[in-house]
Amino acid sequence: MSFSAIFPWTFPFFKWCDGTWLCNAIKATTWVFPLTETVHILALVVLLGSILLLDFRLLGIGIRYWTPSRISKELETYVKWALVLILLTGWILFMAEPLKAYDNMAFLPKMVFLVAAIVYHYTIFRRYSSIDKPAIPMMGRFAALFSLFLWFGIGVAGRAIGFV
Amino acid sequence: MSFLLNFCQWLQDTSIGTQIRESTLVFPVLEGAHLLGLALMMAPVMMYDLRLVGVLWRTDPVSKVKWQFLPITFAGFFLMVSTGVLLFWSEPIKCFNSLYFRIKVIFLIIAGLNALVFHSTIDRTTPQWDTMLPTPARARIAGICSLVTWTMVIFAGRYTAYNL
Repeated sequence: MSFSAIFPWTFPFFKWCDGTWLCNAIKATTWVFPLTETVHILALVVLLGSILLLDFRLLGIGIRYWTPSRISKELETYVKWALVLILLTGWILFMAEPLKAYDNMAFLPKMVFLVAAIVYHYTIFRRYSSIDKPAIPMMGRFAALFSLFLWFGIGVAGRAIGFV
Repeated sequence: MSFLLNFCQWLQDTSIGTQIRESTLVFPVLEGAHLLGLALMMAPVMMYDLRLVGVLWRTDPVSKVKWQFLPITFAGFFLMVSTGVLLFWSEPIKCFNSLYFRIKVIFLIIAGLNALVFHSTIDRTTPQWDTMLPTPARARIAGICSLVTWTMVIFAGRYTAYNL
């Protein structure tokens, strides 16, 4: 399920990325990629970790002292900036080897999960993460499970990029 | 060090170590679980640390924040240690020779000592400063020390895998 197999018409974009100065600059160094990837993982800890806590609350696994709404408000800024940082570092990692990403079987699924997770998080999921009472309706639990599925999907597909 | 090296050699040659190392599926799955478990363990750790520093959950008692997040921390820690032990088991010689793995172990020890000192001293007097802001200097120092050392553990851990 790579871009090359399913969306071959996107090739000119990947090819263009491969020729940019940013791509050449990253390729010319050995330290940019590992450092960027490590910062990418630190951002993952904050982003995925915050969302995980919110999902746990909706599922009724711990953190019952606060309502989902209170937890969302407390963590909102962290989620937002971690998302900015993870997208920025992710873009640099992509620019290090765009043609590899084009052929990689896990990269396309990761991008699909990524777009779905961000859209879901800021639309449907909001209805449940803004619940301001202790009791969580059944739909809230499903919303949390789906959130876990999407965010972990990005993580699993992302990890798979290095192995497939 | 030769005792450690002999132990690593023996561990490397055990059948469990060999099986994980040579499996195409087990190693990536363990590594993925180790990475995603990081978010599970670190998010609640960060919450408590940031409360100790006085950044998040400022209006809530420290003891409340502690017991909301500590159970999740333990679950995450258990996942990290079990996957970490198996990952180490599969390539002990590589870890022994890696500068970054040694750095990781040193920071793990510092993080452990920091937690030990904190919980056996200032944490015992929490009822006296539960809602006090700013929090006592020693609590703030413990929180910052925890945040910094765990960040270094993640850094060194990621760099261990690069064979730099």
